[in-house]
Amino acid sequence: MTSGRDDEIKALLSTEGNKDIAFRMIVEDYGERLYRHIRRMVLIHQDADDILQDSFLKAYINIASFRAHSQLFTWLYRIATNESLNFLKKKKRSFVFSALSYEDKLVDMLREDEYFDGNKAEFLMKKAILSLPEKQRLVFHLRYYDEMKYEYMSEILGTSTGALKASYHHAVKKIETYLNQHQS
Amino acid sequence: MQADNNIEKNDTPTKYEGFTTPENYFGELPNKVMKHIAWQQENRKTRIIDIVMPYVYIAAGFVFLGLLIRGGLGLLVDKNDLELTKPVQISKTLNDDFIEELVTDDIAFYEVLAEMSYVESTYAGSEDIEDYLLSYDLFYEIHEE
Repeated sequence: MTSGRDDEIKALLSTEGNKDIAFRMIVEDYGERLYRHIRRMVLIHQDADDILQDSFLKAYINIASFRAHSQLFTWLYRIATNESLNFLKKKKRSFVFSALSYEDKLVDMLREDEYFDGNKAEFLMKKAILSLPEKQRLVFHLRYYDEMKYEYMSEILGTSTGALKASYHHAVKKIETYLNQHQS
Repeated sequence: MQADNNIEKNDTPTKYEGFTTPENYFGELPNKVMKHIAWQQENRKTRIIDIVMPYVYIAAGFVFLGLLIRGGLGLLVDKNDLELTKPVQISKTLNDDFIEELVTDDIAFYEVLAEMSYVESTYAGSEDIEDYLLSYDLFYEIHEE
């Protein structure tokens, strides 16, 4: 059970000299989950790997600011989300004067990524998700793939649960429309 | 309810997305992350040194420049002259005998000056004598003779 393990990690963090042991446990428990969350946002393995390393580094440096009564995973997700969004913002800035958008470029890069072996339907699904605005994309990922509770999502994204439900609803509708238009 | 609690479990994703990773990527991840953190922490210390070092170099440069100027002056100026200009040396040479001698010389000099001014005031030049002789018509008498 993760919550029991979280308590163990928190106890280790509160004692002197156990920071590295506790942090290794955090990486073991949340590494894969955070990787998937980041990878969905940036799609390319190498980028996801870099962002994951930086997210853990940020978490390690700021571990003192982590409040014991908070959930570890929401705190880590928030860091990973911010890192991913910052990465995308930088990438998009470099495409300002380009005829192609960064999303178009991402589709091409995903097609060539050796660590993507999705079939035609999965590739189309990725393209449909990429057509969404960033915030809707995030909400869709957390709800659809991570099956996360709205209250946790609210904690991570700093948005009310009502707004998140509406956002998810719009995202699903847009994806359905996109898939219907492009499936044939 | 089952779906909502999924995030709290350390499990594999329920929906396949086509994403793959290098072999044993997640197995090696903790070591990789801890190494990255250690490297970054070390690099952070190095960066602080990188910030401080230019100022140290500038300060060392000024010290070196100062020594260079001082050394250069030493080559241009005779060492003995420099020795004499030293305040300690001056104070050593300014002994009592020297001061006494200096004062005596000064007195003698002023005495000479005073004497000279007396002589000047009493001395009658050749022109004055001629004027005197002319006034008594004695000049021609002298020259005619």
